[in-house]
Amino acid sequence: MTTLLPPSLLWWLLAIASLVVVGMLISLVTQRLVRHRRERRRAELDERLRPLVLEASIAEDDEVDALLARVRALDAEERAHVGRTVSLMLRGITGEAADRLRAVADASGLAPRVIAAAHHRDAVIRADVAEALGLLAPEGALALLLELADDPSSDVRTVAIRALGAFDEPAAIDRVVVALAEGSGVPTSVAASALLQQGGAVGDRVRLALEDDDPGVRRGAARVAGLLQASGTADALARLVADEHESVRLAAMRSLERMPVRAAVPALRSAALDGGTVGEAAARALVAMPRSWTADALADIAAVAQLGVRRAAGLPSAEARA
Amino acid sequence: MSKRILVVDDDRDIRDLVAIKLESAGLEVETRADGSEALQAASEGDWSVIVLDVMMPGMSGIDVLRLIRDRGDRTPVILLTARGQEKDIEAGFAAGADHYVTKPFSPRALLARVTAALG
Repeated sequence: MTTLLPPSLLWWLLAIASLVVVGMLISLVTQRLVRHRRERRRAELDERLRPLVLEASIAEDDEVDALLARVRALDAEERAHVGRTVSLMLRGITGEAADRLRAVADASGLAPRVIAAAHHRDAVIRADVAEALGLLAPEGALALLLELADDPSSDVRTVAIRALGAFDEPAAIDRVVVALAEGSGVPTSVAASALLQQGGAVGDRVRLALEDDDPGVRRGAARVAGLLQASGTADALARLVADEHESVRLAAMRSLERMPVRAAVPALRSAALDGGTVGEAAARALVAMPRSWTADALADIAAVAQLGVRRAAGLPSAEARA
Repeated sequence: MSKRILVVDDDRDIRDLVAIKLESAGLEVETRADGSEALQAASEGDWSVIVLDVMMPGMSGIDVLRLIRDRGDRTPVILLTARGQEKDIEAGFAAGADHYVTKPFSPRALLARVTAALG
C-alpha cells in the first residue's frame, strides 16, 4: 500500500519548486537583459569609435599625432573597445595601414593588457594573447611567443607558432623549424605557413632542416623548400628522394615538381620503376622537369613501369602503343 | 566620370578598410557582404573594377566571378585570396580574374593594384 506524504510537506515541496522555477526565470531574464545591454553598449561604442580607427588607418604622417591623442583621451572602456577593434582589423591587413593601427593599439594601452594576460590560467586567453602578440608585435613579444610556443596546450602552441611567422629573427625561425617535427602538436601546414611568412631569411635554416635527424622536420622542410623555391636547397632535396621515410620522399617529390633539380632525376627514375604511390609521385616530378633532362628516364618508365606510374607520367600504356 | 569600385568581402573590417582607402584616393566605392549581393550589384552597376574576396560563405568569389564572366561582363576583377591558397589563385585565373592580392594585404598595395587595373 502506498503511503502518501503529509499535505503540509507536499505544500512546502510545491512552494520550493515554484520558487526555484521563478528564480531560474528571473536569472534567465536578467542574463538576457545584461547581454542585450552589453551588446547595445558595444554597438554604441562601435558606431562612435570605429570611424576614428578607420581614419587612423589611412592617416597622413602629420595627422597621426592628433588622432593618437584622441585615442589616449578616451576613457578606459572606450580604449578597450578601440583595442579590440584594432586587433580584429589587423588580422586582415599589413603594410602602412597595419603600422598605423598598431600605433592606435599602442595609444589605447592594448599591449600592456595583452602582455599581462600571457600567463593566464585559461588556455583560450593564452591563445588570444599569442595571436595578439603576433599582430601587435609590442616590445618583448618575441620572447613571450617563444615561451607560448612551449605551452602545455597544443592549441596555444599552434597559435604561437603561427604568430611567430610575423618575426624573421633567427630565434623565431629556429623555433618554427622545430615545430615541423613529429609530435610537436602543431600542424605541419601551420609551421610551413609561418616559415613562408618569415620569408627570405629562412632559406639557410630550411637547408639545415632538410638534413635534420627528425623525419618530421625533414618532411616539413621538404614541403617548404618547394613552396619557397629556397635557394641552396636543391641538392639536399634531391637526396631526400631516397630518404628512409616514405612521407619525406613524397614531400621531396612534391617540391621537386615545383623546383626542378637535375641531380634528382636518377633517384626519381629508380623510385618510379619501384612503383606504388611513391613511384607515381616520382613520375609526376619527372614530368614537371625539362624533357631534355628526363627523356631517358621517361622512356624506361614507358617501357617497364607499373600502369599507375605510367598514367601519372601521362605515358600511353604498352597496349595503346602497340 | 568618377571611377566606381565594387568591394565584396564578408569581413566588415576588410570591407571598410578597403573602402576608406580607395575613397581616400578619390574613387567611388560601394560594398557588398556576400556573393549573391555581389552578383546582383555587378549586373546592376557600371563598375570600373570589382574587388572580390574568394572565401565567402555560400557563393564563393570564384563562383561569382565565373557567373559574371558567363554573362559576358569583362569588368576587371581583383581577387582577395588567403596566403598559400594557390589553388584559389589558379581557379581564379581560370575563371577570368585579372589580378589577385593575398590576405593579409596592404591597403596601399591594393590601391596600387586597383589604380593599375583602371588603366
